[in-house]
Order: sequence, then C-alpha cells, then structure tokens
Amino acid sequence: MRYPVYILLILISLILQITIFAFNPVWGITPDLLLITVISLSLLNGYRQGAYIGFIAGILQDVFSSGLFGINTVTKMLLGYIFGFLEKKIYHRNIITPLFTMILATVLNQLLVVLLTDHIMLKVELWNHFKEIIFPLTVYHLILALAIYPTIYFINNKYFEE
Amino acid sequence: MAGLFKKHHRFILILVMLILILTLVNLVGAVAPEKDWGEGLVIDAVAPFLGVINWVNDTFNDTLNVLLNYKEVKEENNRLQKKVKKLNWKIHQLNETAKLNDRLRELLEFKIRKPFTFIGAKVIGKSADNWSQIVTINRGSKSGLEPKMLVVTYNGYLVGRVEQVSTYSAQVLLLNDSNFTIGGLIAKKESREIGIVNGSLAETDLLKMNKLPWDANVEVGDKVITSGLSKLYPKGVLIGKVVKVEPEDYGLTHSARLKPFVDLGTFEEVLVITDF
Repeated sequence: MRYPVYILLILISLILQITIFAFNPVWGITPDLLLITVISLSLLNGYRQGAYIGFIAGILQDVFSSGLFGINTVTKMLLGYIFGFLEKKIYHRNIITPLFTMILATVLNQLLVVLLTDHIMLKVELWNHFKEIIFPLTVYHLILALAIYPTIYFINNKYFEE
Repeated sequence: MAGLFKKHHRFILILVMLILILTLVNLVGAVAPEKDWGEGLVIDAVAPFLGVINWVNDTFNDTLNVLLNYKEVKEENNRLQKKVKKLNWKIHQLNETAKLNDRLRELLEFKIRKPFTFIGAKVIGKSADNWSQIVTINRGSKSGLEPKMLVVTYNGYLVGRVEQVSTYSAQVLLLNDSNFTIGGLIAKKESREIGIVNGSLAETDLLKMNKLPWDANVEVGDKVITSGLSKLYPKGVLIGKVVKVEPEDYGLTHSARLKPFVDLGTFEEVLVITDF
C-alpha cells in the first residue's frame, strides 16, 4: 500500500508542475515540485526508498523535458539516496531542518544538471542561466516546501506509521 | 575515499550502470530519433489529467476575468460583433479577388501555390524543468501528427517543431529551446541571406541566427523566415525579427539575435502544419 501512494504523490506533483505551475510561472521560473516531494519522502523513509522514489520521479520528469534523456533520473536518484541518510539524524516534527535540506537539495540538483549536461557545460550561457535561476528557485522551493513537507509528513505518519 | 566507496559500493555500481545505460539510450536516440521507447505510453497516460487540470484552470481564470471586468468584457463583445460584420463583408470581397486571381493565374499558367494544411491543437502541459522549453499538445498520431512537423500560431508565426508523438498527444520543442535548430532566411528584397536559427539558454526570449556570411546585408528590424532548403520544413514561415547583429568567428561570419514574433511563454492554441 505504501508504494502506490508514493507513486500517486509523484504523479500529482508532476501533473501540477507541468500544468498550473508551468502556466503561471513566478519570476519566470517553474518550480520543481518533484524534487521537493522526492526529498521529503526520502527524509522520511531512508536512503534505499529515497533512491527508488528519486529514480521513478526522475524518469517521469525526463519524459516531459527535452535535451539529454536521463539527466533528471540520475540527479533525483542520487539526491534521494544522499538525503535519505538524514532520516535517522533529524527531528521530523520540526520543519526547520527539512527546509534547510531543501535549500541544499535545490542548489545541488541544479549544479548536478549543469555538470552532467556535458554538451552545454563549457558554454558561458549555462552558468549565466544557473546564476539567474538559482536564487529565485531556492526561495520558491522554500515556500512550496512549507506546504508540501507537512502534507507528506502527515500522510506518512497517519497511514504508514507502524 | 576508499571507505566511502566500500560503504556505498552497491549504489555507486547501480549509478554507474544507470549512467552508462542512459548514455547508450541517448546515443541510440541521436541515431534513430523517431523511435519510441515507451515514453509515448507515459505521455498518453498523463495527458488526460493534464487536459482536465487545464480545463479547470481555464474555466476558473475565464470566469474570474468575466466577473472582475464585467463592463469591459461587455464592451469588448459589442466591439467584436461590429468587427465580425465588417470582416465578413471583407471576406466576401476578397473571395471575389481570389477567384479573379485564380483565373488570371490559369491564363498565365502560373503554378498555383498549395496552401498548408493545418490541424489545430491545444497546449495542455509544459516542460518539467527550467532547462528545456517544450509543450505537450492534445493531438497525436491519431490525428495524423508526425515528428518534425512545424507548429505555428494562428497568425502563422513559428512556435516550434513536433518531437515525440504518442497516440493522443505530442510534445513540441519550442523555438527557444537550446536543442532547436532550423534554417532561416532573411526576408528582404535586397538580401536573401541564409543562416541557422538556434534557441539559446541564457536569454530564453531571444534566438540566435548563426553562420550568416560576413558581407551579409542584415539590419536590425529585418524579418526572418524559414528557408525551406531541406525537404523537411516548409518555406516562408515567419520566425522573428532581427534585434542585434554582431560579427562572429573573428569576423568570418555574422550572427544575429532574433526576437520571435510569438510570446513563447503565453500562447495556448497552436496549429500543426501537416502538409505543405
């Protein structure tokens, strides 16, 4: 029962991301709801599940973006795995730590995308784009995480806490 | 470092294998771009939800708009009705002229230019990250869409090119995506220079036109159309307007910055050119 619900959460994030949030961009950028969902789920479930969830979310995101196929799969899986190690180390009821990890995850995710996209890495415009979007994106993610993390925490606790 | 590897060796192994597989997939994709590896299925499965959400979003926005600007909407309605009457009269006149034109063309044995055939489609989704510019539209192979078809707005301005086609939906690569390339032509009597139009990452609202000859007669304000040099794309679809010209490759070529005629952030309906 646990995985279907998680996949549903990922699907909802994806659909909202490419419709409502992409049609009404704030500061000209689209937020990465999938990243927030993946990090939240991985913080609550540990590294193994984090990697699985990241993989699924990443591959879905890749289908709906152009360019190098698989870039989001690799970055999301890696981040899901890394942040899953914090599962036992943070206090989940306090939202401050998850928010900080969200900042870190946003920056890391964008950096990884830049580093892995080899055919554009050498171009200056890539770094300019990175600098342009990273700050508003982080702020946007922080605000969204304020809503998404508690929701996922609630779902996780209510239905799957043994 | 060795400890790190030992602790996470399984994950690192999986990651490396994944990267290798994805590299292979991308290589195969570069050789045979029209092959569908199941993305079509995923897109088709998600597309209905996109449609529903879009419908809700549109209805909500429209209703809100009408409610908030009731008076303006009413005035606009009146104005538009008058305009429709005027335009109907004009169409009638133009039809007569068109008939005359056809007759004269026949007399002169001119080749009659075949108009493009279109399919209308609605944008139901956009790209899932900030590094790419694609949209999902609600028509697919069932409506006769194929990869590489050009997509335009109602006034005939180029929007992008069909990339991935599934049964009931398709993905369109927009002009300003960094992977978009098309042959462009300066549409001026004195100069028919040819260059390559690319999207760019840094300024998503501008396009780049490369490889213009160094002595090209290009000025700010010139219109650029598709060149039609390859058999893939039709000729004469409007792309954009030149806003800046600068030398490139140490003066061997020129490059121009184009501003597309369409606002690539806001359009909602498109036409796909299925035959030309």
